[in-house]
Amino acid sequence: MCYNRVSLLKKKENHVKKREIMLKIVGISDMFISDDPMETVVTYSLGSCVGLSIYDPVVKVGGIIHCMLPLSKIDKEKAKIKPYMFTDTGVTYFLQELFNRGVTKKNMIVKVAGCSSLLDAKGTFKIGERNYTVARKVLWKNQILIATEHVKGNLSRTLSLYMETGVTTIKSSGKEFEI
Amino acid sequence: MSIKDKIIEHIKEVEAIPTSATNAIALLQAKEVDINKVIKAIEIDISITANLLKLVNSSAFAADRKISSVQEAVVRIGAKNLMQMLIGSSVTKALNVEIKGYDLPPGELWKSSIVTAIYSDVIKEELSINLPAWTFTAGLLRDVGKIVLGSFIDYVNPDDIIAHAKKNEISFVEAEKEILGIDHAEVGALLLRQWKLPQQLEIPVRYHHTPEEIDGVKYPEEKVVAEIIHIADSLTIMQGIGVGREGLNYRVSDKIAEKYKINISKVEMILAQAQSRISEISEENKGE
Repeated sequence: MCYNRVSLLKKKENHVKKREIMLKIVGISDMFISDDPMETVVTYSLGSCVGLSIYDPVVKVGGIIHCMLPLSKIDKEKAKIKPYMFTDTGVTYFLQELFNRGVTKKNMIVKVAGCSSLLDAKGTFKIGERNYTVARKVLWKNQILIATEHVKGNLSRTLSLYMETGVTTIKSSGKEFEI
Repeated sequence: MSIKDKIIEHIKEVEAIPTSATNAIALLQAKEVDINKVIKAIEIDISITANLLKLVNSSAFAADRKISSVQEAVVRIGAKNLMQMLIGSSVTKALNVEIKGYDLPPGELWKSSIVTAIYSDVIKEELSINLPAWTFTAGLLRDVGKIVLGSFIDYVNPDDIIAHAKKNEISFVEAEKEILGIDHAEVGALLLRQWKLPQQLEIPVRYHHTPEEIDGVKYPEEKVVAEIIHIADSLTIMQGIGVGREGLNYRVSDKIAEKYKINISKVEMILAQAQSRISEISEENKGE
């Protein structure tokens, strides 16, 4: 859809009301970047996986990534085909894609969700913890700070980014709240 | 009447699996299997035949060529596997329902069942252990009790169970047992008995959260199957698949992980290996 943003500002408001919000679903080991205010990016039931919602309020571009496993070294071949499966390659590529779309480090707001664990006394299954550590490390290497996070514990979380407002929410146990 | 007794009463009201399937399953369990009779018993029912062919051709079962008839399925996968696929396809409808109490939309329980079955298969390969063909079916059926507790009975309030678990720092299953007197695993085993499915399936379903409780001397094969299903189920929950408002509040046994020498890198290998088969399933289901 193409229109002059300045001259049609009022018309746009009416227009926006008429258009329906489109849900863009991000599956496991995938990501989606949007610049359409009428889109809501969502990823369902993050368990031990890590989800990042990144939004730049200046260029109004943002997206969500849903990574499953911390490190790509366990299957380098798979990492080539499906880089978003792994937190190390996934977050790195995701950031690059965002930069390509005009997002800047200075303005981006990064929110982290997921990284839950089962009740596991010895930590054999602590992938959530490891996903979190690796995500932090990649962000830190890129000198990017996390604005907020809602991680760990044993919740299952659905992460949404409303492109219209830039608001990020988590839905868990039937309740949705902003983070 | 206690809540437990009421729940057990309600199990009887759950729709039976198709007679054509139970007939064929009974025929397959006979000492001398008359395969032509089996094929006839299946082909009589179009929906079972369709579901069976869909399952044998799905990536869950990793068939490398299109199988287009029951006859061909028998030849290709053998009578033992056929029985497992038949059980799987006859419970498809039952597992596809919405599980309100657990907040699972229609299809989610079925998806999680297939995923657990796939994980059990991948674990078998990764650990190079011998498992009977019915392990796959045990994986498919492990949460069948949730149909009764989550969609069939309206007096079970999951929020009470979740609150009880949180308050006492116990798992969701333990809280189910304390509040209701029975958990979804035990209900599942009772449902299998009612459906007249092969008895060996009952133990892994009954103990998929507590495999340590199985008497390994009396039930050596069942115990191994239950242990593998326990790990496969735990991985499924970790991925948030088939997980409702109770979240990841399930226990995973460290002892079993130790027994099979499963460490974190092994876990990651298994998850990575299984992922392509699982995403194919999601693709296959999208078309419906």
